[in-house]
Amino acid sequence: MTNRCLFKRLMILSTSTWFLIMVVLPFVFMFLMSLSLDGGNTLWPKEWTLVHLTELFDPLYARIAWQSLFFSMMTTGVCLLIGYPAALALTQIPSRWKPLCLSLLMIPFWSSSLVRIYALMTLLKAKGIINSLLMHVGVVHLPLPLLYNNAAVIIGQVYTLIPFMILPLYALLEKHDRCWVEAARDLGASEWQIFWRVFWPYSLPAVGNGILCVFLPAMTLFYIPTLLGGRGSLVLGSVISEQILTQDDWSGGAATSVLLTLFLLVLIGLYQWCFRDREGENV
Amino acid sequence: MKSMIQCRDLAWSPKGLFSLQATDFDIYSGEFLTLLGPSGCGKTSLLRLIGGFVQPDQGDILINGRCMNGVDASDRPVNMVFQNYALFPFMTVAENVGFALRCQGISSKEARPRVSALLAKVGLAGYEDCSPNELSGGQQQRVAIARALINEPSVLLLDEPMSALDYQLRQTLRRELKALQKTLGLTFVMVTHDQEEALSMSDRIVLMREGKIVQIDTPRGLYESPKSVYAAQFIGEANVFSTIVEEVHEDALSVKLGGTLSRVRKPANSDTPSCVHVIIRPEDFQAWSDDELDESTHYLPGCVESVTYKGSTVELQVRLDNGHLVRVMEFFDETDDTLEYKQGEKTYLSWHAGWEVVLADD
Repeated sequence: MTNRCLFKRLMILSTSTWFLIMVVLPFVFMFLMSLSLDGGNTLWPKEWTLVHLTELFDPLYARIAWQSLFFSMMTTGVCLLIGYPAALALTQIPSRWKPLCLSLLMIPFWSSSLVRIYALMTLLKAKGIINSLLMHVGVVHLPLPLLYNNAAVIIGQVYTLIPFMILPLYALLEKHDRCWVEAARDLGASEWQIFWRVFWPYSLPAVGNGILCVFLPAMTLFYIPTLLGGRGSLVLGSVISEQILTQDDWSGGAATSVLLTLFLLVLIGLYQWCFRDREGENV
Repeated sequence: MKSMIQCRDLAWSPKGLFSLQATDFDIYSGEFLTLLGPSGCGKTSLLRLIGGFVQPDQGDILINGRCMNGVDASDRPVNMVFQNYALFPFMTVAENVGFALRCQGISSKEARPRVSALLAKVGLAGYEDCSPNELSGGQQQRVAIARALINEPSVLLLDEPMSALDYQLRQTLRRELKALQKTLGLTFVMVTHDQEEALSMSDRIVLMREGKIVQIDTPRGLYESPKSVYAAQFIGEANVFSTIVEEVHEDALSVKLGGTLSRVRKPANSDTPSCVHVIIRPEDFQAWSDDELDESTHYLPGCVESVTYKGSTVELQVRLDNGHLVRVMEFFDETDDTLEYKQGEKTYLSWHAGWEVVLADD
């Protein structure tokens, strides 16, 4: 009894320590850095300023934030539209093929996502595989502008993030009781009604999880918009990397990061508020 | 009696693993029919065929005289109560019960009075906004029944409705379910592997074995005149003596039971069988000690091997003189209120002449 109590306390202590060191402290440092006038080279600012934070109210930032939000929402929407049927299909295939299909989903993760984005570029570019094929077949005479635009960014982000939508959905839908489908059928439900009334409400928690798992990384990814996007495809993530890596403006980068973090915290809060009833139900 | 469901020469064998063969029977309007048999005998398959969840390879199912071949479960005038009830946990009780109405495009507001009326009928008034997970097993069963009844089906199909419940509750719910069927005046078709459940609830029982129907009869008919050794052994306890016929009389046969020559009834539909099975239920035997015997009665001598006291009865295992072990059940009553038997004691078994069942061995 006391041993278990001790173990429990140790676990809680180590988890909270980890959370404090890896999450809370960096955020505090970042916040302090954004208040520093001397470029953020020291942990504790020598001269204080609010200028980096007030700069965030510039309409330019609003536009960039909106661009980030737009990319992330589109990516999440497309991931859900493709991922839901894919997860449903995964539950239907014969059980001996399931491990293979799941590994096919996971194997791309073994290589760096940056490398995979370059691979995607060779597919999409003007003389890339897709355009060559289309021109060879004679569907088009001029190469399609597949790369360096917003669509390319969304394709790249969907490609990178879609497993995060499929996996939580698959995990929950796999537990869906076949009897429910039969019961619904027995009571006169059409195929569409079975989906809309029996699968959809059941899968809502996983849909919420999937949205969170895709949306949050989509907001912070910067190399995909940088590599695949055009001049207009500027997002908060790429602004931060630009400020810190190119302009050596650590305080400005820190201020933008604070904005992004607060933005994401609000979204997580919104998500938990939406699913507050369901959490209790599942216990 | 009017036939509600007619099964004509049904056969079904999915993937060659299992087969339901040439099944042919009627279900009458307003009766409580039970499909009984051990697991794997095809009783659930038969129920699913009637429900329209699978289509037969051969034969027809008629419901209310209408042929149901190719008609899906969603379009049949029958509804199912599933084994684990298959209630939707993400809906309230009222949403579960009103599901069929919502699928027909009836708004939840319009459906509400009908749902509440039905819930009241099954004794769950006031539970509309509960989650099914908050209810007890018995209450969940009633929600499942109400949900299946909302479309006013001609027949209610029940797939082992008691199997998810504990023993005590099952006893009560048997009576309740039977009473509900009588008040609704509806045809119930129930699948069970529990012979006690089948005996106590059914108007008729369809006994099945390995994809075939063994016997269709009333509980009493099945218990008192089984048409096969299998039926006798599946329903209740039975002592079976398989023996050759020594002598044929006008209305009786002489056979050796436990090594003692005895007279038994002649099987009804067989003239002179050479071998017969004589079936005597444990409760039809009486065990006597040697100072209680009288001249006019026939006895099988044996030895008491074990005595089990069960409250209202005493159960004996008696080794007959030729080594055959039989079970005997004795009831306490006014004439015999002590029932003292000792292990190893010599005993003599008698039975009510004519209560034995004699089957010709084919």
